[in-house]
Amino acid sequence: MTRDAYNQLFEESYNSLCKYAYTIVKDYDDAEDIVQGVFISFWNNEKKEEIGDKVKNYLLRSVKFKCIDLHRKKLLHRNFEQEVLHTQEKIVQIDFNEEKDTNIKDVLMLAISELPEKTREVFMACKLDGLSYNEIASHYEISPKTVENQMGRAFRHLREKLQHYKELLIFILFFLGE
Amino acid sequence: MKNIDEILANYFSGEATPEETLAAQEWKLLNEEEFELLSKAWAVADEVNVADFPTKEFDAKAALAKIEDQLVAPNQGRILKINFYKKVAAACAILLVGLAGFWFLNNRNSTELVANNTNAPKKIELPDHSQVWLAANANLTYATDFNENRTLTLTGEAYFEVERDEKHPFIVNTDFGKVEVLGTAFNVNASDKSTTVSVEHGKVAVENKSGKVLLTAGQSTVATEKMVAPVAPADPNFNAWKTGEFYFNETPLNEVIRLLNAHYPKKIEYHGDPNNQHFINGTFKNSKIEDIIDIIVLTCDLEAENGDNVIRLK
Repeated sequence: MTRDAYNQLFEESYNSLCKYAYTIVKDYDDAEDIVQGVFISFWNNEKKEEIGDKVKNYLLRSVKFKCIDLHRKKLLHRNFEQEVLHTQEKIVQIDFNEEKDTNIKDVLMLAISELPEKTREVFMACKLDGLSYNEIASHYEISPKTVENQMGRAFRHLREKLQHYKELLIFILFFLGE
Repeated sequence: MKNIDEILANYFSGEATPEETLAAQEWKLLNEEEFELLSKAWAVADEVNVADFPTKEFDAKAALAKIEDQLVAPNQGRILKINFYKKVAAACAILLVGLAGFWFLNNRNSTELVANNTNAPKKIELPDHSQVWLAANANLTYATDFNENRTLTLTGEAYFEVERDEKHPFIVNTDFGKVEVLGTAFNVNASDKSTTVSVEHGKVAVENKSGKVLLTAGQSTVATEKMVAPVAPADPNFNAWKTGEFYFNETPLNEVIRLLNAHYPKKIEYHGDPNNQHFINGTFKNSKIEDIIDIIVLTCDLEAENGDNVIRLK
């Protein structure tokens, strides 16, 4: 990989990986530190050529593991400070289960975090609050047609991301036993 | 006509007209796999919170500029490009520093250096009767008035059993922070990237400019240039290099080799297929290296070639 290709990859992926990292660590600086760290070790890794076209999967996966690692350390630290040492093990185990693989939720989080804020709001109002298009329209003072447009955009973006990380996801579907 | 994304959105959120429902079902037949992924994602979206998402953009260009000097040039390691004149200047500077250092040491004549140049751990006793095990290639410096000023500088890995003396705190300085104790046993691994401290018993404070944590028995932390990591359970093998007691629990072979090489003078090398992942289970207490290798060879279906100084695994 040339430096130009690396720079291009960095500029294409940095913003969205940071957004994704934020959904786990909930801290802007931590998110940036983690993504920068992943990019540094990727470039300095002599075996980076072997990753080939799976580089985006690799980056997403690495960012996720680093985030969970940091999150777990923070939890342990907080527990220690509160002297609730007996709950440590439980929390570690919960995180550990999540760690197994990059899954649909990761791609979903990545996709939603990349949406423009308005589109995200509409999508969440529809999905999480269970509001109808008409209710969303009157709440945000937009037309129902605009709600439909925004939902369509959210779906297009989600489909693009699912397609992009398909290789990774099909593998997981297979393992979920369907 | 609406686009397929709007039709799918309407279909999943229950807003589709009968025609749109038909269109969505038709699409499903032609794109089974993608439809499956999409419905899973839609179902998982119930677990998402609005507060999960950032509300700002991240500046890639600024970030790239920031990490620039941490990116090593490909295939050549970190090479300093120095032109001829700079080389001469550097040589002069080194000579000057060298002379100054020599003069300084000669005049003060008050620093002791203990280095372990062997390939096995080495035990030493400090003037205050504290015990130190130095790992291979580790070294320690301390002032000759050590009993009054119990401060050490460590590079590499060492295990300390500190003589209790409340009036004189025992301090280990590393590149990434200092470790302070009263009386206790603990392990410090000061590498060129970070300093790892693990405590066997007693209480230890680890501090650098970014923070400070308190460790008690069975706990560990890592100090780097940027941070002192929160307290975590110590690795069960943290002082295996000294004790010769190894606890392997699904431990990857390369890690096993690293741990064994830190304790045994005879070095182990893996020459097998790097894609084969082997995991080792079991406890070894002061076993002969050949006996441990026999078990690894049997469980991983490898072959061992026993040389004078090296054991090669294939």
